[in-house]
Amino acid sequence: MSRMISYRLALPFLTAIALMGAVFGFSRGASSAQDNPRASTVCLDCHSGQDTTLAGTAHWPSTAPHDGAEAWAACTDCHRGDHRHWEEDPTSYPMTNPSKVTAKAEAQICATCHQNSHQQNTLEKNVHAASDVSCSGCHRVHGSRQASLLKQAESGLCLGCHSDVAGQFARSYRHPVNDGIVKCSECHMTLDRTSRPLSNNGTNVCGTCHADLAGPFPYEHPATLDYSTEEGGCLTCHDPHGSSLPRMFSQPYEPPHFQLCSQCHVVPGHNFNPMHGTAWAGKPCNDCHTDIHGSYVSQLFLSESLKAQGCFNVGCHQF
Amino acid sequence: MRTIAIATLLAAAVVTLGAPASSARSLDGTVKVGGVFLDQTGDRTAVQEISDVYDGFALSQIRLDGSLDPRQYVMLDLRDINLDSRQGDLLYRMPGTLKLTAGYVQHRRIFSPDGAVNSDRKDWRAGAQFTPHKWLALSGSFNAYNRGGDRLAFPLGTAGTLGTRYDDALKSGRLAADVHRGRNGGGISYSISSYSNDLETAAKRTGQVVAARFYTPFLFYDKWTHLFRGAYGIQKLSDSGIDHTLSLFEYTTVIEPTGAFQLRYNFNASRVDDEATRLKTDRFQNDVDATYSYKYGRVRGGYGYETNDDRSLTYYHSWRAGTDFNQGKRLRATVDYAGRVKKDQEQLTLLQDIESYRVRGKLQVQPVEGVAVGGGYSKRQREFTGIGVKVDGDVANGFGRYTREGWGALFADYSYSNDKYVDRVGRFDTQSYIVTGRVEIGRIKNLQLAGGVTYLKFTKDLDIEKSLVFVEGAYRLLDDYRLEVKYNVYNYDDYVLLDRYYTANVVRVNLAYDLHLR
Repeated sequence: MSRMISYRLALPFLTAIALMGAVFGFSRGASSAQDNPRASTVCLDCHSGQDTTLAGTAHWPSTAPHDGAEAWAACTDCHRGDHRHWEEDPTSYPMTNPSKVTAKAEAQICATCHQNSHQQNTLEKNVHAASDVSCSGCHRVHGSRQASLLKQAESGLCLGCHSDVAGQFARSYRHPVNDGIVKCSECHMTLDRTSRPLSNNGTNVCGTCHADLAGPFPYEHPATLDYSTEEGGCLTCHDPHGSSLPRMFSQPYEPPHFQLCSQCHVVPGHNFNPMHGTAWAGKPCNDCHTDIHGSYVSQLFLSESLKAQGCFNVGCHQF
Repeated sequence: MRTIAIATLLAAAVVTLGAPASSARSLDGTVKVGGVFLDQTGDRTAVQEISDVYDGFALSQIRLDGSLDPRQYVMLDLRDINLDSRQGDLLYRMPGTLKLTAGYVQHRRIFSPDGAVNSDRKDWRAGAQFTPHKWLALSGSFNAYNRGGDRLAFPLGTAGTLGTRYDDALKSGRLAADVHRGRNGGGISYSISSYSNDLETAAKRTGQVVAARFYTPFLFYDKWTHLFRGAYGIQKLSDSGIDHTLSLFEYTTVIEPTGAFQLRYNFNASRVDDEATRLKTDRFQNDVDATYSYKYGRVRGGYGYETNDDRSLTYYHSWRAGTDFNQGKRLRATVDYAGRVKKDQEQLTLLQDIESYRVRGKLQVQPVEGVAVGGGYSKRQREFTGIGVKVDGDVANGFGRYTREGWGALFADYSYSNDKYVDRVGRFDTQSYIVTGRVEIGRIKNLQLAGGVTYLKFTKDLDIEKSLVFVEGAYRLLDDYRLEVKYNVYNYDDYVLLDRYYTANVVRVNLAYDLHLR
């Protein structure tokens, strides 16, 4: 009989929300449109072209939750300067352009409103910001037809800079990124560290789609646990961007050496064990070790069908 | 029947969105109808680009996006909706208040040369974000992934023992609340997942995680920021008695005494507690990084120390250093180096001791507007000293881009890689060359032309050639109609395994109609 899912962690979640509401939820007085220049759209009087591109986005300055309340995003939230720009001489008193400051400075401007974990990590951990790739390097903040105001569809956007990776996606066996079926961010959006705690390694990223291989298993293949960005985990055997070998293998899985397995399992005589005669010579490893990603029954990931062949009845092997 | 139902649903959506209403309504879109002509021969697993291409009629795309009124935005985008592969996205947004998303992707993978052994993947996703106040955002999402189909023994011709079919379903959901006020803020999330496999009941599992984070400036020194994160989760295998609890704590602090200098420290601790085996895995990580920024770039360096206490105790030391140089858009250069050493104290982990490093450099120059050239080189070496394995890899690539407004664009990329792998019983070497070129011509009135080629060659222990060629054109017949034609040629040859070859010619013809609903 299947067991019901226990929702015992839901209670602390709801309690924390209530607590946050108490801390942050005191009301703020809304000023009228006449008193508050943020509620006006004076910028669009001159910069009229922006009205079209901003429309429909949260950056549209005329967007306000209630009539008379200030806009969610005013032009002056991002373009800093003073009132003389629009009241006196725009040339003598220019506004700042966030896309022309450093990545870090621009991220701090965006983080004035966007303060979820993506922005927080962009400021503190992300290699993009460290390499001076700013928010506007990927996002068109004045409006875009793409989700999240991205400049273009995701694969083209990412591969435009990561041209070495673009070549990998041209290989014969690859994730269907160029087909628009898999997005770069589905694997690489590990900026949100709160989405990772189900695993103390990166393998869980692959398990998002390949759930049947993600475990937990009573008997786990250690290769899936030894993870870092550069080696280990699923990457021990697979090249996820693309490979010229079937199943995106990083090494050939062909007789006689089966390099894919022998890169770790250098077991002389294993394939040519005289106890077996020549019966097993050149046999693929997964003829016996079938559940190689992890097994529910065998610590050697062996197929239960091998029991019938007597491999475990004569004291040779431990199932 | 399914196609008719989908077409009816779409027609209803288009009519509803297009019905006379507010004068502020402004919807633009495209409908593409046409056909695909496919001629192929050889091993269909060799070129996966063809997996989802079907011969015959195609309702290629229906897309609508625009504003229903100044405070409502909607986008509907459906692709290949009458084929066995199809994709769709729906977005509704009230800027600053509400955002609803939904999406569906269905595609298949081919595992046998004749295409008879394959699997279907169907992914649903939905999400909502509600912002009742500027300081509070509530969001939720739900995903359902289904993988069903045939399983093929590998290598071909061997007796597979995993069974011949599989049927997986993964459902996951997440609720989150984010708050911020000034430089203080935080968030909390609750995630839940459920996995089942109809053909393997022992695999059924559930998981749930509560995570929270909080950030704040230092009390008396606002150039010092603290960030705390924590998470606690449970993961259970329903039928096998496996019960994992997972906990995580993270602390990051950033000090910026001047705008030019930043010092960052990160501490990460996690525990995985396996209730069945009473085995605990504790992992601690410490990282210190310093960055100095100046007018034209930055210099950075850092050191990390990590321990992993599982069946054996393992230490990791890592270090990195690099510099970036930027002269506006004109010149961008990056050089960095990173190394990592793993010491397995009891030599019980699979790969035992590892020494690895990577060095790389990139240069991009934009001498005039519309022209960009660049290149890069990286070298990576890993040595598994305990098990006698050494892996070396070099990658060099270069590119050029030329675009001229109103005329078109020219792109060219070249990539070379050399990989060497040595273990105790043998070695494996490969070299690869990848050339990509693309040209776009927009100079001719009412006509857009493009063409391109990708050529790959693998040599040494592999001997494979693959090429992709395409030519496409779009001609505007009337104001709102376009005729689009695309011709693709795919070639694949494996000269080591002589029966592995593939050739395909694909022609796509579409009539596109641009919608304008006001």
